Amino acid sequence: MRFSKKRLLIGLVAALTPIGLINYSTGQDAYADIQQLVSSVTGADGKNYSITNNLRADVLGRSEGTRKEWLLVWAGDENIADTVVPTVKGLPGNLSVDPAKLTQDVVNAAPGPDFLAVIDATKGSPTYGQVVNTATVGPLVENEPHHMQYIWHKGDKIFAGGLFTAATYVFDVAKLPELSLSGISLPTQTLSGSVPDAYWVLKDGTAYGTYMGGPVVPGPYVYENGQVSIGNGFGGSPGSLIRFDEKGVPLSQSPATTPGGEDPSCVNLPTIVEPTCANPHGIQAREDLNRLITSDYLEPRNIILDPVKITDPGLRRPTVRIWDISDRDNPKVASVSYLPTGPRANPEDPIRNENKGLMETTVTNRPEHRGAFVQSMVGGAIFYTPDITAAKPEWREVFDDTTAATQLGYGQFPAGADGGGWLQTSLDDRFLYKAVIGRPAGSYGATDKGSPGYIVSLDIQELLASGNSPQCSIDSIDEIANGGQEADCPAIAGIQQIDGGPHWGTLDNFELGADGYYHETDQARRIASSNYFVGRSGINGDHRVCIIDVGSEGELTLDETFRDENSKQPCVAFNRKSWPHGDFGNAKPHSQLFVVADEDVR
Amino acid sequence: MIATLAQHGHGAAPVTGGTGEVVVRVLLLTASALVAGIGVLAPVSGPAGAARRVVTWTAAGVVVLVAVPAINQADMSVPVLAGHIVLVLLVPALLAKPPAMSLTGTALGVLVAVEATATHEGAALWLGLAHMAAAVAWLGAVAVVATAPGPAADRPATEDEPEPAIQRAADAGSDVERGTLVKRLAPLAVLAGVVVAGTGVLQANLAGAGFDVRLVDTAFGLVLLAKSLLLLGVGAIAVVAVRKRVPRGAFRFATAGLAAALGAGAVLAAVPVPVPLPATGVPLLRDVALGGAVTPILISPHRPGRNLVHVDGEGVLVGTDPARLTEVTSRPGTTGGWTTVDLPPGTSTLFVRKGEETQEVRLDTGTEKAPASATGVDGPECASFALGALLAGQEKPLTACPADALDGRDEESVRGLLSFLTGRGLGSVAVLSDSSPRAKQAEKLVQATGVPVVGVETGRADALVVLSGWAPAASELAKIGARQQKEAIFPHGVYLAPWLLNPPVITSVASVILPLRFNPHEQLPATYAQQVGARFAGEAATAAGYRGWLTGQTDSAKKAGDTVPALYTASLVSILPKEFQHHDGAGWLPNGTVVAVSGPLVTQGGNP
Repeated sequence: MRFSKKRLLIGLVAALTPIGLINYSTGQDAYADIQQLVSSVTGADGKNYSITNNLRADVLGRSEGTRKEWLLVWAGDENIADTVVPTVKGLPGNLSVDPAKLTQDVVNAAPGPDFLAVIDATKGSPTYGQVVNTATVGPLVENEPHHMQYIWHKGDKIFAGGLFTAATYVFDVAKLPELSLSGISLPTQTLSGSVPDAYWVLKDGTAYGTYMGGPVVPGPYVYENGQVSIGNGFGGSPGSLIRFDEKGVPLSQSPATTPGGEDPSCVNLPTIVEPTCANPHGIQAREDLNRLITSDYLEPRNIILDPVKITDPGLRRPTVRIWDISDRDNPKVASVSYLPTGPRANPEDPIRNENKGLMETTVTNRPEHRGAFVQSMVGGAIFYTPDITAAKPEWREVFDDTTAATQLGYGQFPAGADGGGWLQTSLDDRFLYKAVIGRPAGSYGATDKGSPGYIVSLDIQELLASGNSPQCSIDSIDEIANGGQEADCPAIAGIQQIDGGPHWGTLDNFELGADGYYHETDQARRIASSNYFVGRSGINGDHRVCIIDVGSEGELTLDETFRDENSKQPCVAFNRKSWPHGDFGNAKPHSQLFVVADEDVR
Repeated sequence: MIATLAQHGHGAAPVTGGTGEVVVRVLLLTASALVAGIGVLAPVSGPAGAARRVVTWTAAGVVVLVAVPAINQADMSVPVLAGHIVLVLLVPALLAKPPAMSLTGTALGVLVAVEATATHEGAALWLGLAHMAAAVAWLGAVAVVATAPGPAADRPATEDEPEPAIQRAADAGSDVERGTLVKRLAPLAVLAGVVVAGTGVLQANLAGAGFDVRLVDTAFGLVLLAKSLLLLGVGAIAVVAVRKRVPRGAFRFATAGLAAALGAGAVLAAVPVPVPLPATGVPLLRDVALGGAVTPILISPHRPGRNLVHVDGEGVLVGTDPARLTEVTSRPGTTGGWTTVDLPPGTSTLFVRKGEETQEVRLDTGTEKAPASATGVDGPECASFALGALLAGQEKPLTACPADALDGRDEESVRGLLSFLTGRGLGSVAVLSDSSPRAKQAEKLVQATGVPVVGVETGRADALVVLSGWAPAASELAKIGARQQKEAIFPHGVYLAPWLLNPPVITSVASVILPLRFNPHEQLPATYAQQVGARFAGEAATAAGYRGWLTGQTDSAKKAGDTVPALYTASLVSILPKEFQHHDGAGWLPNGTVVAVSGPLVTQGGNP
């Protein structure tokens, strides 16, 4: 039988069509044209630490004319699915597909690397939403990538922490989409604290980081300022504030606790001689005021030796610390405020009081403002003080999350424990943004229907205009669900429900100018959110990164053009089989930043 | 043998669907393969006669009947199923157009082969594809021959058919005569048969099936045997048919036999692969199906006499006499359930029961005795070492246990720890030890430091040093952890010997510090920890297990995974309110972390 070219072609089509059909069905998404570039440094332990860029030449090779804006996402490999995940659905002729067992099978894989993903965030770009590079870190695995700084400015390095490795990575982003590693701080260099949480970069390029847990070795720790505190070890108390240079070398390590111990209601496990609530989590600074603020969340170890016994309420911190950073290398705690419990407070069940678990804080930005906000992850409320330079700052509750949940149609009561996370003032001080994960149904019993996840925008102009005499105070049951009655109370300007557990967000502080370059702006028109908290602790999220458009009056709408390149659905999914660095499966995106390469920003 | 590789490949699983689902898919595969095979060979098998039309349409009808209801199944890929149905209907619809029918049949054959092997990788994938493609071709050839008319001489003229039938058929452009087809298709059939046989043997080998007693005393073995005999029978008919004329019934039998073999192969996908025979005298790791779940079971040392049996979970009874089984219980410092059984030399059977369900595990203990420490108070640590070695593919007898003596590497680590503590200027230490040779030797190192030693129960020492085995450490540390919630004791911390890196021990207190020769956050230790959790659900990653696992690694990995001792802290990092927490996950410390807090320790010279 003689085969003509035509017949051969038809035969090939016939043979390949079924394979294509199945590939379509199973959603294969491998990357082919990858350029690897390695950047490494020598750590304090003499070992080599590196990042490996995995740049997609197929995407980056396109010439579009428009300069690029990038979204950098600090993500961890999800260990349960860190390899090729057979997403084969039940095929007619396959007898072996067993999704439950497949999930078990992938556990066999070796741990995958954690990475900083570089996503095209240039609105209107044909590759908008595509992952163009994954810079994997090594050799440490299971870092549990957590926070970076809150916002990025031209010239800044990126400081990124590993919750479980207690390491701080410093990335150079000047040549995006390629990254390089500027340095790494290992736990042996930061003995004063453990469990790094978040960072604030100063104008000189150095950064402060909150180390939520105690000195790594129990017993007395002598700080550089001479203060001695007794700590109860890694993941315990008291935490510290550490300043890093642009290569991640610690410049100073300062105690978050005050000499002589703090209120006896501050519980520490194991018990230490001088009790302390000093477990700093959120951090922001006003360099012009020489003030830095940190919010205490909880003793990160939060050990549960008795699974039946309820966690001691005293482990969830109600405290805010304001630091005097006049001497950048010797920050001093200027005040420790114990926030009010709120109208929902229940003396018989204090664990969910509005002031419990102060996760995040944000400062106002304009020179005429001196206030700051704090939000409680467990308590589900927002607090405000008008002046962080005051010797004794006065804090008042100005918003209850129940109000936002009510607006979304959820009858959220009892409120609280809804997983409030990211808190950020707009750079022009008109709005306050907050991310809320949402509370699982049944948390408070069978009748608890849970609460939604969302990003909310609050109008705070009246509140800030009240100066040092704010009237807003959430102090009645009615104000819990309906908002504060006083005229200066924050009002909801916009709210975008996001299912899947939004914990973090960041503002897009860049705009493309008529000159073709990016310029920083205080009129952020976009927010990027991420749906992940800490999987091992119980709140996982669906691992999507979304962009929310911000209207001129603070209204929020999901950017449906920011789509996953595989599923074509809005939001970029970090649950996927393939990455530019390989088939390592699902990843956990904890925090993100809008960044522009040096040469593209003026 | 469609989809046989589905569960033969590493890590794949037999189908969990019910018998009905298995029957449906076997019918679907067999009928689809038959349609595809007939379709592929259309250009060389001549115009189809009534018999081939009936067979092809009937097979296609069977496919549609069993496939259409599956569209509503939640896990079914609708595009693939729809494509499958379309192709299977197109083949008989194109009976009058052989070239088009062949292309459609090829597409259907490829689709069936890909479906059957879609979850496989590497060699298993390619073997499966080749096996399936050859089976389709062979089945098509036999079916085409079976449905062809016999020679004219076989069919005498009748009143209605005064001319020889074959002559009329040829005139009408109908079937090619059977003998002609046999000669025409014989090379293809022989090649396909060889490929089916060869790939089938390789598949069976890849699956771990061997020519042993499992061939006749397991369901998998019996089905495999039946399939092999059917294929041999069909092969024999083919060989005979090439050499001389055989009756038409023989080809029909061959078609049915080949289809049955194909079905048997598909059924194999739903039958558990028999586990390998136990390695004589080597710790044994097996899975047993109990209560709808797979329960891993470890028998250590798997030698004559007293043995430890370890399972994941509770409520499991084990023993060598089904009438006298012993229930596993928890042990301090360990996970899962444990008990001891006395095993005879040589082969025997361990009965494992949960509820009303009983499973059997083949044993072969050999004749050599194991050290007593393998089943004593430190037996679980020894078993963990054995499990680690098994995970790394090391099938070697247990000749010694970690607690038998202070290993040189552990001694170096303990010296380093004590050097660090003396450097902290401690006024006193408390030491928790036990009677094992290892603990006694380590205790002497503490005494050599000269640091005053006070009783553990006083809590007045600056630090606590724990040198005992897992069980006493876990029990005593739990008490100390409870005291630490109320009073500030051991303010300089709790320090453990390196062999106590074991989650049930280290989570007995809030946090501990211990000297390790590896960083759990690096690739090798993390890989071991994941493998333990994946293979033995609920099992903890331990220092002993890691050491056992390293024995099965390359020399470079052994070197990279066991370097110099440094201090590490092990602590829970929960950071969440309790209502959100559901402790899970594997790793070195679920819901926690193990992190380096010092550089390399001073282990030579100095003090001690």
